[in-house]
Amino acid sequence: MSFLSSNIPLVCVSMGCACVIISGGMDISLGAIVSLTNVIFVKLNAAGVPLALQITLCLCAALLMGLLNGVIIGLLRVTPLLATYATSTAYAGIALWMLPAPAGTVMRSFCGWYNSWLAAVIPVPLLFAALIFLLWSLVMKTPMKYWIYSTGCHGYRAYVSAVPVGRTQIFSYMFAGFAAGIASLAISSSTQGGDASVGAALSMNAIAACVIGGIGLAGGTGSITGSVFGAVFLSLVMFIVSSAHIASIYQSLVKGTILLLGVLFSILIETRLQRETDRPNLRRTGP
Amino acid sequence: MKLICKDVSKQFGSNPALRGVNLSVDGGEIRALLGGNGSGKSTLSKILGGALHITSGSMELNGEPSAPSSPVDAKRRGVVFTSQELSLFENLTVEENIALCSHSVERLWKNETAKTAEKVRALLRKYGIEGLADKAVRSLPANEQYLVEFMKAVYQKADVLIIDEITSALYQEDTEIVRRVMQEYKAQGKIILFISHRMPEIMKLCDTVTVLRNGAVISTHSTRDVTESLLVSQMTGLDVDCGSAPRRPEKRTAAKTLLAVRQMPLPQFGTAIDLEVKEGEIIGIAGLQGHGQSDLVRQLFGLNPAVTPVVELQGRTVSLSAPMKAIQNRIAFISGDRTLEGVFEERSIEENAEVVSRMILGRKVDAAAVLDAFHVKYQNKGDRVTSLSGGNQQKVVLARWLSNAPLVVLADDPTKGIDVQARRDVHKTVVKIAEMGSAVLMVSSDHEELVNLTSMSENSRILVLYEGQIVKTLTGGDISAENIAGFCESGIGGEHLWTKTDCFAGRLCLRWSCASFSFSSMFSVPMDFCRNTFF
Repeated sequence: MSFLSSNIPLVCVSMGCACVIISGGMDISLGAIVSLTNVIFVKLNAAGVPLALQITLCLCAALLMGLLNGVIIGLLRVTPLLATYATSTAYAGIALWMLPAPAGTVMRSFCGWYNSWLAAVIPVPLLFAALIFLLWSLVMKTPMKYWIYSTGCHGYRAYVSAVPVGRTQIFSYMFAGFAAGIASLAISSSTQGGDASVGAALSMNAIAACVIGGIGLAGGTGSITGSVFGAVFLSLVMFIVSSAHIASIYQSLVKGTILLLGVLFSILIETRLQRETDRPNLRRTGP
Repeated sequence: MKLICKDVSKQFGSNPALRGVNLSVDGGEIRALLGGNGSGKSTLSKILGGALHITSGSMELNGEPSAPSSPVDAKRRGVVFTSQELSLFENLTVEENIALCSHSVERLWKNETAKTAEKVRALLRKYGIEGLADKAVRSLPANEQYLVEFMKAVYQKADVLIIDEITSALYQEDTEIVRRVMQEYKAQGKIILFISHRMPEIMKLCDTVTVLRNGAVISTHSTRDVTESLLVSQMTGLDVDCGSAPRRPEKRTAAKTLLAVRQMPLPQFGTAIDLEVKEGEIIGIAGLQGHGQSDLVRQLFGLNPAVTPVVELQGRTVSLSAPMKAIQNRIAFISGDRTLEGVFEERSIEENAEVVSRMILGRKVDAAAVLDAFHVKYQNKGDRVTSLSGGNQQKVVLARWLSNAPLVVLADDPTKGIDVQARRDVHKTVVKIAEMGSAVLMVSSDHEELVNLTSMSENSRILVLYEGQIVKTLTGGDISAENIAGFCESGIGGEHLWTKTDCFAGRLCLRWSCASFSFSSMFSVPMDFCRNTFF
């Protein structure tokens, strides 16, 4: 249970990251969005705002941060890596300015509910991840699915095929922002406090999770379930390394090596599969 | 329905791509846009389709000013264009690629994906290509990809359809589909702008033709009033005689064997090919789609990892395990698929032209001289190669390979998308290379081109491939477009040489599957009867 409650945030952020990568972009600001939303959450709690309003405002804030990313990349056409690096520094900076030292509390009832079981069968953290997954399945049933995959495959060709590329990109970054918002709520209840650097490691871990899960960084391929598996694998690795009593000096090294092997393995499988389907299909014509 | 362009101009920085283009097309008219590479045809079609913005001038569709700000906007106004470099997505299936165009932001919430899928299938069924619907685009051969590109444009039910060089990549049977669609549009009173380099097609399919040169309109004629020679002269600004070169008699010279390969397997067909190429020979390779012609030349270059051909090159035995080895043995390969295997899109024109010489052969090369020798139209050789028009990019690829004086030139439809005059120049270069002792193997889907090419040299022949086997070798006076087409389709390569009279009767049978078999059986039975009865 504690494994789930501390690692579900990574799963959520990975799903958001997957959406962005599949649509051909890159978002390294998701960790900063998580941190800033966490800070806003505890600040609102300290101001005595009712819980429902707190959650709504936090999610709106996360959506707005995603929207900003989307507008800079989709409308102003700045390179995704550069744009999200800039926004991640900005969001992290704002978080640090609002909360210079770890402080604040999250509402007790919410934390309690987060660490409990629903109907004694389903751990509540799973619901957070399930929410994003459900949202994504709904999106997949609409034409947005094809817009995302085609923009990821080749942005110019999508433009020429009358796909609203800019709006698709804005949508994907907003989706990622929303996923980061949900993750932030989860991580706030998990740490039960506010910390301006709580999400720092999440950005890169989410991207690693996506790659392990088979989502090509070039865009256009992969599915969100892959990122879920990647996030779970990553979480397991970190859990095993920390509980295997490896000297702390070597923990990073071991974690990094296992991660590297995982990424290589996944890429090898992907290129193998690609090679099978790339062989030209020469059908016979004639009688 | 009327489309009017008034003084349309387009500048790319200091490069004027279009200069004061005036165009007026009525409904029900099929207008051909003819021009050399870089004359502005694709630019005009992209402007009409909304992918580029006008620098100055105006456009009118049905009396209303029309300046589409994006392809989405253009689609709303009813103007659709096909892309010369395909706008398909490899990660989606054919059906998804075509259905993609029908979704719009306004109708996002109405979930019509199932209905759309059915409509797409109905369209493919109408033209007899429903089998393509579920295939992933990346697994399709080039001509089918171009057909899907065309179907994508057709599905959008435009009022103005702009066809940009689709037919150059299609085989004969697919061109039929294009012709049908064009006739349907004409009957509905819609406008079609047809861009192609194949003159016979333009004369046959189009009502009127506008000639462009260097971004300006030179003239507009009805196709009934002009000859090919006049059009080509206007295209190039020179007096050109368009008639094909006189048929030279076949002359067998005792030349040495340059390249010999025995029993090279073609795994896709389970057959094996024997080939012997002499010095100075030009060999054209013809066949229906995917019958092994591409595989043959690609394997000889070492492009197929599953097959390592062991060839005899000038007496030495060489095993061509990889393209690097082939290049070091002075074998060149020119591919027709320039996006995938031709240009390096991010690099400059100069780098693209000298990449093989400098990087692999370690030879310094004067890029400007090479580019000028191949008549490549460019502003500045440090510009990105994608700033050139499609045909010019292909010329850069040709320049890259042919400037190294290779021993053997393998070419897989290299003149795709290149205009008539440039094609002639390429053929002349090829002949010159052959005269210096090299050999050329060229695959082409254009039978006329193969006929023209082989007529320029005495040492030439045409191989027809059918299902991975060489079913016929045509030489000298037997080379004609009808003969090639006949053997491509029948494949029962008997020793029956088709003369002129046979060709007429044969054309009737061409559409049947067992063409020559039924033809010969029709006559052989009464012949045998007569022979047995009277002699």
